[in-house]
Amino acid sequence: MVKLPISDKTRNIQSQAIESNGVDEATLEKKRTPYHFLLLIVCAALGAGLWMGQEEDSTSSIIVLDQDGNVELSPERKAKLARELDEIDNAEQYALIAAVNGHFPCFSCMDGSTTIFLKKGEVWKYGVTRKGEQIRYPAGNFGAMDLYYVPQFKGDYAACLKEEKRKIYYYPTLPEALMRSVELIRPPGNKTDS
Amino acid sequence: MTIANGILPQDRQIYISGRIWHDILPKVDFSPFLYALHDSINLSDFGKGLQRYYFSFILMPEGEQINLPYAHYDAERRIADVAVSVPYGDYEEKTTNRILMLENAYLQGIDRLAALNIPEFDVKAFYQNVKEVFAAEGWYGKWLD
Repeated sequence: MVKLPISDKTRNIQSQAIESNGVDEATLEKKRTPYHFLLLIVCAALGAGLWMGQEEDSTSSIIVLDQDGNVELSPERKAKLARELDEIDNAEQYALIAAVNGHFPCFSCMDGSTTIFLKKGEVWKYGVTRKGEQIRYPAGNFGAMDLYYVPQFKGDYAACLKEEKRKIYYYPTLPEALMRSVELIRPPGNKTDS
Repeated sequence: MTIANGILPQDRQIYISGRIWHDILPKVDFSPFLYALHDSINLSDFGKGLQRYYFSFILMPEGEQINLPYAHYDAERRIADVAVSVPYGDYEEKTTNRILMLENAYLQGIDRLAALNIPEFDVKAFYQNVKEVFAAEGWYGKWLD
């Protein structure tokens, strides 16, 4: 039976409990021990599971030999790489446009306002996304509600990032921005210049 | 369901959005759907299973790889999120009445809800109720500003 060490603080508390409840130390020890033993079993099981998991990973190889004996990436790794390269090549720059007249969050209002009134069709934000990132916008929430997601440019990721940056910088020159009494350095939904 | 001064409340039951290719954006306005459905539909009339319904129209040219249809249901939060494609070429060429195409897409979305097997929610009754909204003469124009 394993006896775990008890700190002085714990021992003092237990002594007080013994005095106030009339419970002797031997009885307390009997009550304490099964829980410690159970904890030990759980820890051992977790450790075994981790060890087995590591053993499993090390046996599934990331490299294989082709028919000529040359070292190659495993088919699974090749497929994952191809998928990720495809995602980088298939990106789009988009605008989030107000679907209705309403108040939208403002992250670039220099007068400290946290919301801004946008008319239907006005830009709230520019952004970039890649193939496979649809999950970024669950439940139609693009960071605010009542917005249309409007892809404006398609290309590889770098080209889309440049397009996004150009649009963010030139936002103050848009007719809708020029008509506003408050100047915005970038669209209300863009927190930074990228 | 109240719409004060033409402004929809932030917290409501039905949300509509779109993934719309920029070229066709000038020919698109889903806002009457937002207003009409908010005004006429109460999801709790059909059961407790659905508290919020997010729907997106997808209007993207053929060959689109990023903005694809989907249907999800979150049982814990009782939220459904569905996106349906509208035939881009037909919409652009106006081969069919555009509002009718959008109505059909929205109803298709409700069909996809049925496939999600949402518990304690009468999808058929919801579908019927929405169909009645769309059947009202001039419903779309009434909500256009």
